[in-house]
Amino acid sequence: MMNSDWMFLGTTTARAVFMWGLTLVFILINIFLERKICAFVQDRVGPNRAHICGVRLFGFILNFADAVKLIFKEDILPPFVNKAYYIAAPAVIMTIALMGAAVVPFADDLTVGGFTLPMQALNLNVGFLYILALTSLSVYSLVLAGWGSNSKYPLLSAMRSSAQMISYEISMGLSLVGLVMVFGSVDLGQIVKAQGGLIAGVVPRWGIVVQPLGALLFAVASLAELNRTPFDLPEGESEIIGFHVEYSSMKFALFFMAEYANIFVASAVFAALFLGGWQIPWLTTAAIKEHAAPVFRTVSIVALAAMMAVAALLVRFYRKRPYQWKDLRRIEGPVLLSALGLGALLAVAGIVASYVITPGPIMAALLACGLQMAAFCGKSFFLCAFVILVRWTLPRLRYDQLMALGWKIMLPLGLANLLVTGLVLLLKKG
Amino acid sequence: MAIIVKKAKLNVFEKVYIFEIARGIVVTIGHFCNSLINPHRLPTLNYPEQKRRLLPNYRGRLRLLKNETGELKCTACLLCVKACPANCLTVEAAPATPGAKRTPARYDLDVGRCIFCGLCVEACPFGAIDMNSGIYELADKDPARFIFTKEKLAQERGPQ
Repeated sequence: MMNSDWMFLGTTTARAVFMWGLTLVFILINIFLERKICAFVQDRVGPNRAHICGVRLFGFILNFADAVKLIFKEDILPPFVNKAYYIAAPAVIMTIALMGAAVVPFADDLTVGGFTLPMQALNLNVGFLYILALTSLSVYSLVLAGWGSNSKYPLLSAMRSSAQMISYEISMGLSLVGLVMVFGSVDLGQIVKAQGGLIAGVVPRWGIVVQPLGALLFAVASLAELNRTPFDLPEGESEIIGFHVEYSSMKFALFFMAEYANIFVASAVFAALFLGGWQIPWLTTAAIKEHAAPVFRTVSIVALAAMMAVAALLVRFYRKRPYQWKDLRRIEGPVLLSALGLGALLAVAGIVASYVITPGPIMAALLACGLQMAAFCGKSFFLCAFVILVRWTLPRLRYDQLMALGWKIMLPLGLANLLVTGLVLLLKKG
Repeated sequence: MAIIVKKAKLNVFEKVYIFEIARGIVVTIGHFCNSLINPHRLPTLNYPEQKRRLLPNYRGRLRLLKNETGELKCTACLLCVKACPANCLTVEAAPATPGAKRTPARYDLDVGRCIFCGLCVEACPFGAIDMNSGIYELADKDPARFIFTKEKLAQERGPQ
């Protein structure tokens, strides 16, 4: 093979592994967020017991305890199930969930030494149609689980969820047509690049600004596709029984991991389509590369301020707490604070370095790439948190309300959005 | 008979629904931020580290009381045994010595059977037992340790 072939293979693998790893990390983050946001919204404390050497990371460590528990639980294979379908279902849903993030771009094209790398695991020209296709495929998993379980409640739930997902897929696709008309592409990389401009020199030209109704419809439809509250009828843990009643142990966990992975994928896609993806508002890639040193200085100062704010919160928390842990957890405060102190030192070093060193083109390009990745991850994080917050805010819809919303409200609104977008584009041209 | 459910009249803003959802989200964000900034104000007690203040009439594990000279007040009259609905007490009197107060030779409480009803305390004519001990952490892996003997019942601490 030629040298450039190896280069291509290496970078493609690296990008794919990055997005795959990001999805897996976001599964953990989402489970953590789910627990902590749920607890705080309900005025509870949330997970605060599990720790490694005293460090609990605000309950994040509970994820690992949870994983150990689920792996070592007994994996029951009920005698009445259709084994092939029963085992395939969780594998299918997890595979699809991990594939979803592949087409989402996480930074601007990186140009290093004559090579231009699209920062996107899979540079498909079908763009988000790939994601729409994957969401359609994930219905199969639910139907497989429902049918393979060979039991009446999973089957009913599978029927419910397949009907729901098919109904909302239409609105989902329709809500994106307006966006395609505005940006003229289905490729997510192109769409994100097109969102870099400004409207009237002030407002960033994000999808949510040019297509507000489309964004709303897409958000609602993707909540329905994710089976998240208020559309979590497929799962319906409290009164109607979900499609995974017959599952136990890691197979059951896979359904939930897939759900949390899907939350990340949906958030990343929403960020890419409507919130400018990796675009940092009012700061283009060229601008970052040109003013690399001041940009890096500003970022370091912001990071320093953020760490000091977190440290202040922590100190306040540890001083006001009316009790003392009697085990290793008592050293958590000092450990976290010293970690923050180390971070603050690094930030100060960054501020100093920005005055001393003049960054070369490669460093500037890497800085731009890193900042854009951080912007993308931050947007996805906040959208994940929003999806979870919505779950703890809204009650579940009744089934007829669900169908009425999907067919009688979302579909006409999507068509109206299309009509208005078309008219506006026509008037602008003519 | 069928009951007609009256539907609340909604104004235009409420019918659009999305604004009401936004209001709900504002409420939950408020609770979230409050809990994040003031975690020490949450009502949760971190149990093994933090303990509830017990009320004076809280019924904990039974306790044998002593008089001023440090002897058990109990006279082994067995009224507590008769009052006990769960049969958790086993009391035997020591052989009587003339002129001296009667004392129990054996006073066993099976906490595994005790239902903490307090009828034994009410039945006692001498005020020799009470349940104000404030002892409620009685879980154990060995069932043999559920049986509390006279010595154990007498020496335990208590808030009152």
